[in-house]
Amino acid sequence: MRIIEVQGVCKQFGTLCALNGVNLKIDHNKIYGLIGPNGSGKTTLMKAISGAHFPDKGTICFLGQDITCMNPHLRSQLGLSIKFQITSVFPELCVYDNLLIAKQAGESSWKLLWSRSKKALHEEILEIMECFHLQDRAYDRVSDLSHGEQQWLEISMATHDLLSNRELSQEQQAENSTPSPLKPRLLLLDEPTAGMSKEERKITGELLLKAKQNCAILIVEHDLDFIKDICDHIIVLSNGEVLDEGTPEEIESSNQVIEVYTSRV
Amino acid sequence: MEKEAKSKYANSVKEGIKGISRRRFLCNSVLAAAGWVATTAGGWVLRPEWANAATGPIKIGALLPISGSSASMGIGCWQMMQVWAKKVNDNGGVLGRPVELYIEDYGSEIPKAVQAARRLAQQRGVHMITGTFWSSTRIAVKKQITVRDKLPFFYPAEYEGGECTRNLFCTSNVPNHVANPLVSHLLKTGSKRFALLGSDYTFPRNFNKAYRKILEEKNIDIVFEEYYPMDQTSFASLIAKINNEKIDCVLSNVVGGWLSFYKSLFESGYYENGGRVGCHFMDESMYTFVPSKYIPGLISCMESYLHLDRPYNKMVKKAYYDMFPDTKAEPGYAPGSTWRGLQFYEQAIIKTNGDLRTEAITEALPGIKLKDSIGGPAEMVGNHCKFNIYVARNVGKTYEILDQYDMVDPRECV
Amino acid sequence: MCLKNKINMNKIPKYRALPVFEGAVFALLLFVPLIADKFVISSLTVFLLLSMLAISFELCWGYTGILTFGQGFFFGIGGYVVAILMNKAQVINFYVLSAGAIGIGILLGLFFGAFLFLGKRVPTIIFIAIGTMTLSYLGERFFTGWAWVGAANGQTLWEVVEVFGVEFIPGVKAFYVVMFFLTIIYLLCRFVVRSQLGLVCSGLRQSEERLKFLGYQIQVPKLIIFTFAAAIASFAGGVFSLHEGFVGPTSLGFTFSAYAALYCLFGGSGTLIGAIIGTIAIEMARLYLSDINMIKHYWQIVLGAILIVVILFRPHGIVGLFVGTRERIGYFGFRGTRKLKVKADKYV
Repeated sequence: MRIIEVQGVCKQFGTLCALNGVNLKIDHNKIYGLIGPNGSGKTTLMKAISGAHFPDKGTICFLGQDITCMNPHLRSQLGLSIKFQITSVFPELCVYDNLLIAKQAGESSWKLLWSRSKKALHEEILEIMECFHLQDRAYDRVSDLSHGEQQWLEISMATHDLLSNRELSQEQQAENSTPSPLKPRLLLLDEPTAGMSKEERKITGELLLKAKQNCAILIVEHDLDFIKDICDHIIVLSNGEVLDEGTPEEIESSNQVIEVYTSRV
Repeated sequence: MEKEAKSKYANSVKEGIKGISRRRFLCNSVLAAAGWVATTAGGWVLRPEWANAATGPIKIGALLPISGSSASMGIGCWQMMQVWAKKVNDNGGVLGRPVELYIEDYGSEIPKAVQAARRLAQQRGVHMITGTFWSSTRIAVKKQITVRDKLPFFYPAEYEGGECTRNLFCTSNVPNHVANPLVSHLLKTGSKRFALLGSDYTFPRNFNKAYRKILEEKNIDIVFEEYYPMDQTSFASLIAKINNEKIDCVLSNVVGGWLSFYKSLFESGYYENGGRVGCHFMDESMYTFVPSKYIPGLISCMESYLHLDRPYNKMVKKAYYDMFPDTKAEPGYAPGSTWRGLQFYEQAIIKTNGDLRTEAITEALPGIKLKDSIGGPAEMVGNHCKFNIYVARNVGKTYEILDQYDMVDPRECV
Repeated sequence: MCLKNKINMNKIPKYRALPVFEGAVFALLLFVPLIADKFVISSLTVFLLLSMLAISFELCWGYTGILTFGQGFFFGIGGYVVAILMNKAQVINFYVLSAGAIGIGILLGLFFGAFLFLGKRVPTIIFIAIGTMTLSYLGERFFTGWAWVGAANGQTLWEVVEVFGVEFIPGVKAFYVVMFFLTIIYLLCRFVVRSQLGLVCSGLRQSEERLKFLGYQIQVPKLIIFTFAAAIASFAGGVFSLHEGFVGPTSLGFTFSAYAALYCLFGGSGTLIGAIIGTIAIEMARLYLSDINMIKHYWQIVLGAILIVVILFRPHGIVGLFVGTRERIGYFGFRGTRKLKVKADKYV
């Protein structure tokens, strides 16, 4: 099932052409890797898909809906979830509260005021923390976490319930009148393993492999080994254009890709 | 014995007034001993030893700004009050009771004025309050003073008229005092083309309304009438209009930005072309705000002037500068009006035979005549005053009296 | 991977300082009228009304990151509505007057809040600050020139109203009436800031962008808090004008808005009790500094210097001396059990 389709997207920053007619298709249940040298436009493309900025030309369709100029919060409510390149969590809040805030995005202000969801979300948050090995840091402030733990926290906020087998009861399903952010349909992860140790990367990879069963994932990474291990499909950007794409094996043996990586040291 | 006691008292008063910062004075001060740290410089008049201990002093509260933008006027009034208190106490007080003064500085802020009034009444226990300048401050505090604390309130500033609140007594001029004398003088001395100007609030508008009434009665056309915000700083287009329209007399109630206005008018050559300005509230104390050179020949109309050649005025002025030789706050119209109010209060107490209750004082005040005061005799008519009105011209560093109107009726609250 | 069948979480830190601190301040306030004279009681009543203004600012800035210099505008508007209803429509029923004040606060809060927050572009902090400052300034100018409401002279409120069967005139009874309203407002605000909406506000303060990408329509909670704060400020202004017997254009101006910010900064931004403490501390300084002979002509400069020093060296204000940062931020999760456990589960 086609999750997202990017067609002819261009983005200019002054005289700098960051994206120049990028085409991209992402299907369900697959992990896509987006690689390329520094300055190739990876983060710009991620931001265009997430809604951090709007492209100058081209279209982006998400689940059949044109989201090219849609506000980020609406994209998020449709099922598009992002983890930024620079860790962006709520530094004054504890881990638990960061997850709590992420999980209530679909709630109305009235429900938030009466804190109706607080008790209901308790066990789900515990599960998420357990999956991301954050259970011992539940009430520590984020600013006290290591960089790797902060990365995990942010990934966990993006993945929500993707790693849970929890089934919503009929009552809970009825309550969710808006498209549920509980299970995002597309995860955008910009450098999710930056600053992580080898062991942490391994665990992250396992988590993402599990998550893909419920969504599609697009990862920007510099760790090519990590990309090779978990991605089903790799897209290579260079100078704002798609240089090549294919399976990891195809990309590994692509002369164009090798040339671009070896010429940009 | 009595003379010795009075002399001792007079010395201690003088010491007390001048030496507020001296520890000995503070130690002697009853209220300082109660824990109020040196309320103001010279703000305390010691209770003389000869005072009637049973009845206690007459406490008068000064609700004045001695910091902030209106400080220069407030300090003048406060100092005048002290001169008056000394004079009264030197003469044995009022019906044998000494006068004590208490000041609360409201720093030119209205909310603080209400609080200060409350403090005077509730903590200081004053019998009467005098003070405030801007009408907005008066309106803010009048309910607190006259209704809640039920005290007589003497308002010393000239204002736009219409204040008929019970227990509130206005001792300076209102439009009905000055409009006719000022406009009549300008007309008889040749002015024909008038512009009425003012800052955009009630006071200027009311005075201009009174001027307009008289001019229209005499079938004089007013070329234009305009108002400007209080924070106006540039009057270039107005000055151009004045000159282009060949205005020969500007009746000005410009308060906000007045230095800029008068300076620009002067520099435009308006006076050289025979133009004149009439502004009723200018006197010598206003030179600190608008230097005399920018208002040559300005015609003013007030109930008193600093250099008025009258024995009473000279007596008060001498006493003022004897007590405050280095002061920069001149005893202008507002301090003079404060003095007048204190005189009325003193006479009211005498009339009630020492009954300081507000009801008694309020009943006693209307009809009281002062044989002499600053500017001349005065009479309380309702809650406003009849007094002499002088038309004067700014010449150099003084105001030259041109005309005198005796005992002009305010015609307020009839 | 996720095979643990029991999770031991850290115990939630016990809150010690803040509730005790809050209770102590309120208890002290309740006790004061028993020992103070009438003037101190009346002054304290005014301080408590100004505390409500400070709380309204605290909700916006301390909790939600909305830097507003317009709380003075709502404060003054509340006073004017009460004055107009009393003087022009002869209304002396306190409940009608306060409903009018609250109503105008809500209406204008919604109106200006919508203008500030619901535009196509997300407004920056500077935009909100200058926009609300302009609102205060324009409000003061407008009312200064409006003759129907007294223009620059303002209006005196002559009538005496009854609240809960007592005459609302400065004194002990009025103090306890205002204490009652302050307590209600405090508890309401506490409820809001400790709720999940409060959690979202906390997120807005820290990282508005992140909230947006989580799926929150961030302008809605901002508008709600801004309107709620406006209603509180208007109510406070209405009761203030009844207590003081006066309302004027300066009540709407930037001065009150600036003081609200100062109260909160001094007392401790990010706590409701800090707003109250800061208000009382600064107002007492304003009252008693002018008594000191040495500085009587420039006590305002001295006050300003004191405020600058405190804010520079104690950025978390007076409350920061007693309450740690963690406790100040608080925790928002479910605390049904101290030890958090989850049933054993298997993950495929």
